[in-house]
Amino acid sequence: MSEVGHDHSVSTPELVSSWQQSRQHLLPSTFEERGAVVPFTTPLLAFARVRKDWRDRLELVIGPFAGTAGSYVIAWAAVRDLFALTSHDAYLYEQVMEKKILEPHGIRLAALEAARTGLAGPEAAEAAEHTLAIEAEARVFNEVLIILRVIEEVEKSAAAALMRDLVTEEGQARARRALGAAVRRLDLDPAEFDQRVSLLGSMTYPIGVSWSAEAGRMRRLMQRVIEFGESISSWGEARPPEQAAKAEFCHEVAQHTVHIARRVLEEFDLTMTNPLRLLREWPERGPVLGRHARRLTWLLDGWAAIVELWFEAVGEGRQVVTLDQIMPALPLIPRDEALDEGDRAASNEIALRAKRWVRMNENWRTGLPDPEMTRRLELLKARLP
Amino acid sequence: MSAEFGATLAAETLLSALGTKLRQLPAEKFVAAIELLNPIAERRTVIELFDEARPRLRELRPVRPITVKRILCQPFEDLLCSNDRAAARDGAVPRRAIEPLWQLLAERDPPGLDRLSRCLKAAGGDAKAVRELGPAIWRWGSGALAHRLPSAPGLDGAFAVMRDALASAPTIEDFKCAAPAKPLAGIDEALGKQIIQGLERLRNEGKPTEAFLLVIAARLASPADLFMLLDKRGGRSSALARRLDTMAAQVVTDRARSFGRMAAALEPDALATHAEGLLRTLLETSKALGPAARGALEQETMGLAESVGGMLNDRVVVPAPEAVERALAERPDRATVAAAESYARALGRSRKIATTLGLAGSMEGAITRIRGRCDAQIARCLDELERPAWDGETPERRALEGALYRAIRLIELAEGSHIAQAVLAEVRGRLRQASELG
Repeated sequence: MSEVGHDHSVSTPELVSSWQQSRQHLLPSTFEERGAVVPFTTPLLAFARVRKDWRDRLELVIGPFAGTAGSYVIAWAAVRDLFALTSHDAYLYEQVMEKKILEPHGIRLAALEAARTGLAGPEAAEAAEHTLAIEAEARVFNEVLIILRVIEEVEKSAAAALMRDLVTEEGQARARRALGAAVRRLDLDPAEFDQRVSLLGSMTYPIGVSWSAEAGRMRRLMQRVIEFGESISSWGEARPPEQAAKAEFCHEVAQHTVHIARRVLEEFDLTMTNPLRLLREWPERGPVLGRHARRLTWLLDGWAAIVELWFEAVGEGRQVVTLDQIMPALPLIPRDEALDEGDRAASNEIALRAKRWVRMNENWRTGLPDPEMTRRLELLKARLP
Repeated sequence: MSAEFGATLAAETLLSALGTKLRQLPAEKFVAAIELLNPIAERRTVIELFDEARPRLRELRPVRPITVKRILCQPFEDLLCSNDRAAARDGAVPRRAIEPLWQLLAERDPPGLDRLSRCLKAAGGDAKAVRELGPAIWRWGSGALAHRLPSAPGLDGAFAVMRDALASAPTIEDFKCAAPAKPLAGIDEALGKQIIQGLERLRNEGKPTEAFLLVIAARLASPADLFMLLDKRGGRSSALARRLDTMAAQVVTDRARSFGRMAAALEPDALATHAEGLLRTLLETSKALGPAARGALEQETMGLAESVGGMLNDRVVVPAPEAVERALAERPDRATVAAAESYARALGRSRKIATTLGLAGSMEGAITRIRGRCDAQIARCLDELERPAWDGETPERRALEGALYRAIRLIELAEGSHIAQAVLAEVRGRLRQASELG
């Protein structure tokens, strides 16, 4: 294990420049270095992140515990020996290791598969089954909306007629045939085009297209992060000073994330405005869109659980405890992932203030297993979108 | 039966039934119900209903209307106890003591009360302004009680505690704000420092310290932790020791009574969790008490272990194997699986106290039966899944995998993760092998 991310104090003006430099080490530099959250149900590993080390081996980053200010980094292969994992976590751990999953979308699918086994209880299993079904539908629907937009650009009247029957399988099949006809008219290779449509669809369905009547999952999550920030800020106004300050800090981190996410989403939507052109120029434009989509997924990684944990906490007692559980898990923006100098300065400032609060669940400090917390994390899984 | 007696009995039965219903509501609905009752919270029946629901009120802390009276009572709210005591124990404050105290203060300084009420009204919804009014209200109360306390049978001790708590109110409230939510799991270094600093502050100001310590003891999951801190710092004075001992013994006795009242409505795993917590607190507190208080506590809780043991045996150990059997049937519904998991979890949690309760033998027997059944399920499912005939993910295959993992989950809940992981590792190994060969 190694300990990273210690704070450095400043005692004289001569040390200011080195202090400002060392402040940068409070943050990882990229999303990949920050790692993707793995939704374990073992309390000590809640909000832990997986990433690669410099030798391409998987490692797990665990947030502050035992009264420390730094994070702990553990070789993935050693995790099972060091921690008493729940069966669900052992299953998920193996999936991540075997398939070397390192990004949020892949982790999410692996987590849904693990929950579907029933190893985290019947509630999580049922929710996972339902979510996977919804996910599959959303994927199909997103692709059909893209197809219709392409047809619309080529032949407006055909699109209007197809729109009416979109929800049926037959309607969707007709849409694909119409697409094929439109593509041939444009003198493009249909098989190649079809493959590009499929790639475009799978890249964009977690976010959804801006012209869909129903917002995609990432857009809904962004809205939930906004609601979380407003809720916790409003709650904090009636609390004693230290709790009020923590609540306001959570609000600021949420606001900062949404501020950057909105700009990324704007770029994403702009790129998606003309899908026909995007598909025609796929080798050049596809990667650009992919970067926007991945960035958005990384920006919002870790927020779903935090938001649901907060809204699930009913009553003042539970809310105060949840605030302390949320604080060390807040997803701070890595220093090189800010879009400009202003964002970078804001990220650094947030990281510096985050170090002031380290307060952990008592049981975590003693290292004793916490069955109540495990159960809470299992039930939380059932609420995640 | 006279009509009057019948009406009283009916009212008591209805109250008890309402109290039970309140306790059973999901958290959100409970909070909503309390908000509905808040406008009539001063009525006797509602006060009694709140008494029935007190444990959940403490846990969930729904929003209650802010009044001068409520702010006045904040420093000693942790010491409040139900009215079913004929006389208050040393350090406790029955709720029926609030009204005579309030009447005395209102009569002694009506302009002062009027001024404070107007300030509170002016503060409106501004939480900061309301909070800043606290010290003025406590000073008003403390000043008015400095020379004379109210008089009511059996409440002299309670009035003295309330007076001392009001005198030490700023220190008590500062501690409550800085400490984690109750019940406090223990006293770490930071919390210990806050307690010692609080004591020093009160001594420097010439204020009483006992109410402060009583409040801390009442907020701890195990009051024994406070004794250990004080003993390390040079012991407790004999007078203080007696009061803390009595307080701690009362906290445990109250918890035992509260457990007795709510046990019938608890699901198996909640029953086991509360039972385990109660017995652990009883043991730790008993060890830390002086001989007199220990004897009194043992007297009050005589038969508790047997009673809890009987409850766990009848409601967890005996029915658990059958509940698990139902969940291992083909395609059980969610409620059946959830029930089985509750029983398995309860067995797992009860193992620590099984020997104390004389249940070790029967518990191990139940777990062995469950394990045997789960192992048989796993073996059956593996035999099917290892057949080479499977063509991808079919509903039948998914159902078999579901049954397999359900059995592993139940083993985990009853016996622990380390055992379940070994089973899981073997199962996954065999499935992987079958997949490679297929």
